[in-house]
Amino acid sequence: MRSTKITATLAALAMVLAACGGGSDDDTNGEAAGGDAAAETDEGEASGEAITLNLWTFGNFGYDDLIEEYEDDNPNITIETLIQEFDGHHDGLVTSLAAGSGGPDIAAAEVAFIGAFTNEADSFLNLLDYGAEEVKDDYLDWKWDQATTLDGSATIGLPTDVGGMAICYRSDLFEEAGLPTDRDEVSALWANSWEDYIAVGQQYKEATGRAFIDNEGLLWDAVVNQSSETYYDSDGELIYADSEQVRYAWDIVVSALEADIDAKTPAWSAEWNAGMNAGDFAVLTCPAWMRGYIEDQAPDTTGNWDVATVPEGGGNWGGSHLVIPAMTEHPQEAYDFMTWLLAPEQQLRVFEGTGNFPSTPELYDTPQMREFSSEFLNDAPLGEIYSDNALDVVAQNIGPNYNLINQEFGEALNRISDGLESPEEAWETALDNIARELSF
Amino acid sequence: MTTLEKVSTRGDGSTGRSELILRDRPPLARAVHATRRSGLKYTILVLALAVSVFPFYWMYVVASNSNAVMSQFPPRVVPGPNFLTNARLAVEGVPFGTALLNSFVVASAITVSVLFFSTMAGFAFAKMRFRGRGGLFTFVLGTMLVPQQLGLIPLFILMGYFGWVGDLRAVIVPSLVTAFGVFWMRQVVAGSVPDELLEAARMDGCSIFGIVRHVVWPSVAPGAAVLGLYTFLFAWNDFLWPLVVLGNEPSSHTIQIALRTLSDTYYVNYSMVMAGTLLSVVPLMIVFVLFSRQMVAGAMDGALKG
Amino acid sequence: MSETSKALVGSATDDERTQRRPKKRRQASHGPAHEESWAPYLFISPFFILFAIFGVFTLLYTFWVSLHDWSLLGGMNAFVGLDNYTRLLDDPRFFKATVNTFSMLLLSTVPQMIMALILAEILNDRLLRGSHLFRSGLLVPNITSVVAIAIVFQSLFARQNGLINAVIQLLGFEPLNWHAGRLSSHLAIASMVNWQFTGFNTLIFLAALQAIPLSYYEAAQIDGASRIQRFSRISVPLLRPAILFAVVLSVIGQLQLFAQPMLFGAGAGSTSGGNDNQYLTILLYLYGQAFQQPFRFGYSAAIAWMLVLMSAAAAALVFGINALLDRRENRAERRYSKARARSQEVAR
Repeated sequence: MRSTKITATLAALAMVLAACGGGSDDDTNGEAAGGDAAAETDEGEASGEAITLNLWTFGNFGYDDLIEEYEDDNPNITIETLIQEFDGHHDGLVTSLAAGSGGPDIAAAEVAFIGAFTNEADSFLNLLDYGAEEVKDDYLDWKWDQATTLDGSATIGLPTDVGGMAICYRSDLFEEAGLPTDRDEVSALWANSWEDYIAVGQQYKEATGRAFIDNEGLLWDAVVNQSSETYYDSDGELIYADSEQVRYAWDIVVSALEADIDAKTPAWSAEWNAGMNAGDFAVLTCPAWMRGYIEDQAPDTTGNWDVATVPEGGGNWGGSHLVIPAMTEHPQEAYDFMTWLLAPEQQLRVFEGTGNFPSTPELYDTPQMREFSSEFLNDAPLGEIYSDNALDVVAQNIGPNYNLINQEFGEALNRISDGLESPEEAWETALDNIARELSF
Repeated sequence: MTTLEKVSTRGDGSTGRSELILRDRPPLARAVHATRRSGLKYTILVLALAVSVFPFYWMYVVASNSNAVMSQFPPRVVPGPNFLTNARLAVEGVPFGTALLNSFVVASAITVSVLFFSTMAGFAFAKMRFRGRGGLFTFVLGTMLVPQQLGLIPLFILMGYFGWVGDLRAVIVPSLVTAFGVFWMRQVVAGSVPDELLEAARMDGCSIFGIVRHVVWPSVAPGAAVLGLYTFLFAWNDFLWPLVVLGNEPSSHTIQIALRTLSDTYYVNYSMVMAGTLLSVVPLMIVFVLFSRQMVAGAMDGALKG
Repeated sequence: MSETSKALVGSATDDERTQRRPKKRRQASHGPAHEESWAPYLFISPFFILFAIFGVFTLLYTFWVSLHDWSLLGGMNAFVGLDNYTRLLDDPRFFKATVNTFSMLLLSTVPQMIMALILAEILNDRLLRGSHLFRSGLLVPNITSVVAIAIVFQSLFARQNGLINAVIQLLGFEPLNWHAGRLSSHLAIASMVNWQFTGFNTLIFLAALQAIPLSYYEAAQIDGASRIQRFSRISVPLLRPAILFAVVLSVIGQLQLFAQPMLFGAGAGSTSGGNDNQYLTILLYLYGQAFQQPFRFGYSAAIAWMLVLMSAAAAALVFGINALLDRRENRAERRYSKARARSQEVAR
C-alpha cells in the first residue's frame, strides 16, 4: 500500500499551513481581539501586564506620532494601527460587530455611521460607565450628542474632528465675472440666505457662461444639515417628509438646477478633480479637510482660492468619533488611551499636523487656532472661520438611517440633473423609496 | 483523381476516417488568396492585442504622472516622469513586501492544493466506477452556483470559532479544493488518460496510488497547467473575503488589501495606487511566463498531431 | 493543450464509448483482484469534507437568517418565515437589479463568445507568425485585479474627461453620459468584463479547435466549402462542448457580477448602482442591503438564496438548450446514415 505517499503529501501540506499560521504569530507583538494567549490578561489590572490595543482608522487621522509617544510613556502597552480607506474600514467594522469577534479595541466611526451605531449602543462600551462625564465639557455639545443615545443613558464615542463648513471660492473667476473678491464682501453677498447664494450663481453664469457650483449633491448636504430637525426629530421620530429644512434644501437645490448653474461633476470623480483645475465651477463647499484635497488635486491654482463663510451659518460635513466595541478585552486601557488621544492638547497637535479641525472648543481661542491660515487659500483666516462655524452648529439627531435617507434624496436630485425625472416626480419617488426601505 | 469518403459530422472521430490527397491548385492563385486573407487576420489579431494591452498602458500613464496632471482635460495620454516617485510612495505606504509575500503564499498554497486534490477527484470521477458517481458529480457542479458574498458573515463567524481571524489559514483552507478544479480535471483526465495505459499499469500490479503518480499525473500536465494558472490568478486577485477576514491584521494583508489601504482621508491618490498595482503585477507576469510555456508546448503538440 | 482540447471536444462521447463496451472488458480495465473500492471515495472526499464544513454551514446559516428580520448590528429580531421572499418579489429595486443583471449577462456573454470563436479560428493556424505573442497577449487582461481595471475603465468612460468620449468627440459625435443611461452603463460595464475574459475564452476554444483533425477541413475544402462554411459547419458544431462549458462559466460568473458595477460608480460606498439603479446588479443590491443602512441581514440572505435559485435555473436552461441541439443533431445524423445505407445498398 502506497498510502504512506499520500500521508506524506498531506503532512507536507499540513506543515505548509502550520507555517503560514505560525508566520503571522511571530510577527506582531500580539493578536487581534480574536482571543489568544498573549492578550488574555485580566481586565482589572491596568499596568504591569503587556497589552496590545488595536486601533482602526481610515484615511489620515494623523495619530502616528501621538501613538509613539503614548507607547513610550506606557511601556506595557503596544498599539497596533490599521488604516484603510473609508469603505473597507467601515465594512470591516460592521462585519466584526455582526460576528461579535475579530474587531478592534478602538475604531473610528464617521458621522455617516455614528447614528446607526448609537442606535445599537449595546454593541459598544458605554463610556459614561468609565467616567466620560468628566470630559464631556471639553467637547462641542452637538458633537457629543451625536454619539449619545436619545435618552442620554449611554455615550458610545468621543469626538475626533469636526468637518466645519465654509465656502471656498475662486477669486480670479469672481473677478472675471465682475463679482467682489474680498472675502468679507463675498460672505456678505449671501450671508442671509441660500437664495442669495443661487442669485450670485446666476449672476456669475450670465457674466461668464460657466457653471457656478460643482454638483447638486454637495449643495444639498450643505443646506440640509443646518437645522436640528432634518430626518429625525429629537425624540427619534422620522420627520423627513415633513421637515421644513428638508423641503427648503430641496427647493434651493432645485432652483440651482433650474438656473442651470451646476457643473454636474460628481463628487470624488476625476471630472470633479479636473474641474478644480480648469475652473469648471467657481465655488466649493469647504470643510476644514478639503484644503488638503484641493491642494493635492490642483496645485497650480494656488492663490486663486479664498474662503468665505457659509450662507445662514452652521452646518457640518464629515468629522468622526472614536468608539470602543463591546467585545474588547481591555476596556479600561482602551478608554484611557482614547481619552488621552482625544484630549484638547493632542487634538491641537493633530490639527497642526494634518489640518483636521479639533472638536474641543477651548482651543478655538488659542493663538495657534486664531492665526492659522493657508497660503494656498490666499491666507484666509481658516482658524477663525472654522471655529466660528463649529460653534454655530446646532445639535442634530442623526438617527439610525441617516445615510439611507440622505442618499435617496441625493440620488433623486441627481435624477433631476440627469433629466430623468421632473422635480415633482423625483420628490415623490424619493419619498416612496425611503418609505419602502424603512417599512420593514 | 482524388478520392474521399464522406465524413461524419460527429466529433468523436469514431465513425469513419477520410483519406484524401490535396488537389493541386495554381500556386499564384493560392498565394494571392492567402495574403489577402492573412492581411485581415493579422489586422484583427493586432487589434485584439492592442485592446488587451491598452489599459495597462493607461495604468502606466496614470502611475507615471502625478494626480494633478491626470485631473486635466483633455486627459494626458503620454507617460510622465513620476513613476518611481509614485512607486516609492506606494511601497512605503504599506508593507508592500510582506503583502506580496502573503499573496504569494496564499496563491501558491491554494494552487498546489487545488491541483493535487482536483486531479485525484477528477480521476475518480472520470475513470473509476463507484456508486453515486453521477449524482455526486452533479452535486459538485451545483456548488458552483453559490456566490462568495453569500457566505461572508457565516464564514467569518466560523473563522472566529476556529480562531483564524487575521490568519492566512482563513483564506487558504476554504479554497483547498474548488468545484471548478474538480470539473476541469475530470474533463482533462477523461480526455488525456488512455484506458489502455491504466489497464497496463493494473496488469503490472500498480496500486491505485501508483497509477495516479505514474500514469495520471504525467498525462494531465498541460491541462493541469491551465488550471494552475487560472487558480493562481483567481487566488491572487481575490480581495473581498481576504479583506473581511484579514483586514484587521496588517502583517497578514495580501497585496490586494494593501493596495486598498493606500489612501488618504476621503480620497485616493490614483497615481500612487496605479503604481502600486503595476508593481504587484510583476510577480504575476513571472508566474504567467512560467506557466504559459507549458501551455504553448501543449498547444504546439496538438497542432502537430492534428 | 492537446489533451485538454481532446477533453473539451471529446468528453461527451467518451462515456458513450466506454458504455458500449461489453461488461467483461470494463471490469478488466479496472483490475480484478485488488480493486480498492474505497479509493474513489477517498479521492473525492477532500472536496466534500471542505464543502461540508464551509459550504453547508454557510448555506444553512444564510437560509436560517433569511427567515428572520435580522439586523446586522442588532442581531436577530423576529422570525418572519417567508416574508422576506414575498417582499422580494414585490420589490421594484430587486426587479430592476435582476433585469440589469440579465441585460449585462447578454451584453457580455454573447459578444465574448462570438469574438472568442473568431479569434480562436484565426489563431488556429500552424503557419501563423507570432502566434505565441498573440496568445499570451490575450491572457494579459487576466493578470491584474478587478479593482485596478474598474478604476481604469471608470476614468475611460467618464463623461467629461474620459478618453472614450474624447475619441467620440474627435469623430464628430456628441459625447455620452455613460453612467446616466441604463443601456450605456450596461455597455460600459459589459465592455469591462469582455475585455477581461475574451482572451480566456479564446484559449479554451483554441484548445478545442486543435483537437479537430485537419483532414476534416481539407476534405471540406476539396468539396468546395468556403472558409465561412468550414467554420460554421465544422468548427462550431464540434466546439459545442467547449462553447457549453464557456457559456455556463460566463453565465454563472455574470449572475454574480459585483465588483465592476460597485467600482463603476464614483464616490465612496457606491452600492446603489447609479442614481436610478440603472446598473445595480443582484449581488450589489444584496451587499448594500447587508452592509449599509439599515443593515438588513435577513433580507439580503433572502436575496442570496434567490440568486442561487436563479443560477440553478439559468444553468438548467443552458444545459437544456444544449440537450435540444443534441437531439436535433442526432435526428439529422440518423436520417443521414439511413440514407447513406440505402444508397450503398442500391449501389451494390
